[in-house]
Amino acid sequence: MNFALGMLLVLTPQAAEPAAKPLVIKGVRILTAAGPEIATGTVVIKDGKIEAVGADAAVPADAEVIDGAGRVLMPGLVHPATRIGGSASGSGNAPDHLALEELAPSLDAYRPVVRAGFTTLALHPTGGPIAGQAVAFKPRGVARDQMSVLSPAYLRFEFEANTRVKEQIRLALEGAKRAKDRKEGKPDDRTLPLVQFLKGELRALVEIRSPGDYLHFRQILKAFEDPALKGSEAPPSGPALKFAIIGSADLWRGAEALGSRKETVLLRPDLAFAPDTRIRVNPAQELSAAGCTIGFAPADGQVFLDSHLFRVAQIVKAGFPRDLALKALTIVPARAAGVENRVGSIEKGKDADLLLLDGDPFSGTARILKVLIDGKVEHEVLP
Amino acid sequence: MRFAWCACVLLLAAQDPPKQDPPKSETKPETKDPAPVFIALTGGDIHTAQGVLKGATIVFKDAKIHRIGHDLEIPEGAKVHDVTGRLVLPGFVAATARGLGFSGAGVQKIADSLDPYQETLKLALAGGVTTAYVESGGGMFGERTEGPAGTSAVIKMCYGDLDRMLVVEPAAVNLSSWLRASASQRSDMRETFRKAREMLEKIRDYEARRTAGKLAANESAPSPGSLDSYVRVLRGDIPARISASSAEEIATALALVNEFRFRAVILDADEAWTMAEEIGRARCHCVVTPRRRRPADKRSNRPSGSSIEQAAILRKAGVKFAIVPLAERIDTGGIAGRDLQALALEAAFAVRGGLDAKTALESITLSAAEALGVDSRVGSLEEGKDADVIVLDGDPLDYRTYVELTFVNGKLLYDKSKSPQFSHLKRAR
Repeated sequence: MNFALGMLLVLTPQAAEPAAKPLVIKGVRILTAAGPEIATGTVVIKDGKIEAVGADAAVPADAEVIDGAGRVLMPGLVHPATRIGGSASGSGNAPDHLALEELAPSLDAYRPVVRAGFTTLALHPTGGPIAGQAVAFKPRGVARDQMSVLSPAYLRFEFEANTRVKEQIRLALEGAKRAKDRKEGKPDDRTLPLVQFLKGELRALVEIRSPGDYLHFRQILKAFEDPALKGSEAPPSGPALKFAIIGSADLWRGAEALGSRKETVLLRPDLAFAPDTRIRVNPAQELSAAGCTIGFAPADGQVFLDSHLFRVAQIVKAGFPRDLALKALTIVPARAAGVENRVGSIEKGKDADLLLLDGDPFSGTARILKVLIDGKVEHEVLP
Repeated sequence: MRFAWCACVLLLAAQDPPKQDPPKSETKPETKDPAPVFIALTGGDIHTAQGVLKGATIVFKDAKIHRIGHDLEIPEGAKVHDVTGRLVLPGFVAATARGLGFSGAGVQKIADSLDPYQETLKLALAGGVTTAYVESGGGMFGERTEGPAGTSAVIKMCYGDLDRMLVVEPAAVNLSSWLRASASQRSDMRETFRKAREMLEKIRDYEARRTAGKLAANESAPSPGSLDSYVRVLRGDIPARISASSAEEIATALALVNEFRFRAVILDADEAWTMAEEIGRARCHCVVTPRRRRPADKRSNRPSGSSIEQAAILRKAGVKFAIVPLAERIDTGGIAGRDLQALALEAAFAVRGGLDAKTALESITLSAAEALGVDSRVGSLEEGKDADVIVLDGDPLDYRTYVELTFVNGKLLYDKSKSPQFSHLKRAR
């Protein structure tokens, strides 16, 4: 059924109980990731969505109330690029490959992910310079049509600076540009995603190995950026290519170039060393100070998921601002995965994907007490 | 289920659309030419191709040298570096280098594999090297690729700037393997050159008739195909490079050069001093290393082996040469003073063998640029050339001298006072 509905498909089975009572978390410190934090406030959840949020949001009479005194509420974590839940052999090597086809939901795989606080994941395809399209989903349910799914989340490039990869991407984009500029006829399935990318309709996530790769990728894109943007004094009206960069901590060495274009960079929350030394460098801080928007993308191992908040706390300790760290865990990866209108912040109308903690998330010792996905408690520890 | 789904859609539709951040512009519109960036180095002793200007000023405009002279008006807004008492020279040119600018095996085109963030570039800059010739291939120990299969390039050490890193690719055809091949393979190579010469004649004929408007209908330009690089060599676009250490090898190389009349660079030319006149007549460049040792051939009754006087002898015979150090790479392990960071020191050894200091300096600047065919852009301080400039705290041929500042394409990319590797090292008295 979901395929028949086209690209954007929403299934929220819990809405099958329209009579469900609203859920309220009150008297809680709220880190919204969308504005200033609310020192003591209330969140009203109805039908899986956030219905109200504020210092004095009205509590519906029939609501089930959770007392959040001394607790902290934040948006669920977003993992923008994972292979968890996908088949072991990622077989994508074409723009029209959909990671959705690989989605093999099973409670066994997702329970520890939810326990670690992740409420949205983007499963990305692997294999080849243009690997295919990722799918964003929520780690709940045991069958594909029980999950909330957004596909395609992004087109994934696996980029490295060499003649083979550069030529392959350049030729594919040239074909897409011809298809885009043609008046009649439709692009074929393989070309369509790249046409959408060139039109700014489909975002991309570009994995690179080194900061130099970024400059090579930009060099290719130069020929495909909207000519209307060139040399014009009018404000840019044409579509801009939308993409984020994902790579190792080493990318900080390219901070000047990445920052001058205000790129979004997804990193593992790790410190790095200055070249040939043991001198600590905070890549998130370096890139952010240069103008980049930072998102965090953990490695897939359970230890990395479980310690994600702790690791980010170390990055904050080393100078990365708290408010940016909160966004880097939530709304930034949500935007990179194309689901920022659904998840990533605590705002009216968004999905009620929430974490209730017993302390500040950047204290390093905070425990996640409850994980809510679409307003339902998917994981909780007894106090 | 169906009902539930519909209910959900209705609910969604009834809600306010979630607030979205305004779309952020991810590409910058290109504006009109930005105002030029001026940099001025004042008060230094400037080593130009014509001589030394003491206490003079050099001004860069963006990536190029704008003005050189005394009492220059410094453009408004220029960033001024006072280098009084310092020496200002063109950046050094490494006529051969390995492990610089890119890494990894299987490189098809160097331009596609350049790494402008390679840390080694910073060490090259600290040694005053701003331009280098590099080749693809090379194994774990960086041995040279031989034969025309690989590709070669002249690159700039412009850390962080991919767009200006490549000067030319391919930069040469390497014929070294031919020299050591069997007699029949050598004859194949001659045949290749003959075919390339015919192809070049065809191309020239085609171009002449095209200019005169005498082309036949539907006549297309002749395609050199696999002969392309040889045609480029014969046309003089790029040089051939031949590693020839012994006099015998050099003689074999010269025979080919004299037969087909192309620009050649003789590498590892240890015994070049024994036949300087012949090399001069063939107008070949040499690449020499004063500290290289080749034992004399005891069975021979002619001069043989290497000589510390090699460079001085070549100079006397009018042969142009570039000097490269013993290890043609950046090497932070092992014995210091043998790698590209000590390029100037290698030139100083030529002076010890009787060469004049001016020619010694040229052998790592202008002559090296000529050997690479990039002397119109780099190798000397002249108005209009690339602003690849180094500032030294003393005589470049003095072993105690440090590079203080290195500019590439008008950009300050090395400042010793801020370098974690070198800032704490003081010049010996």
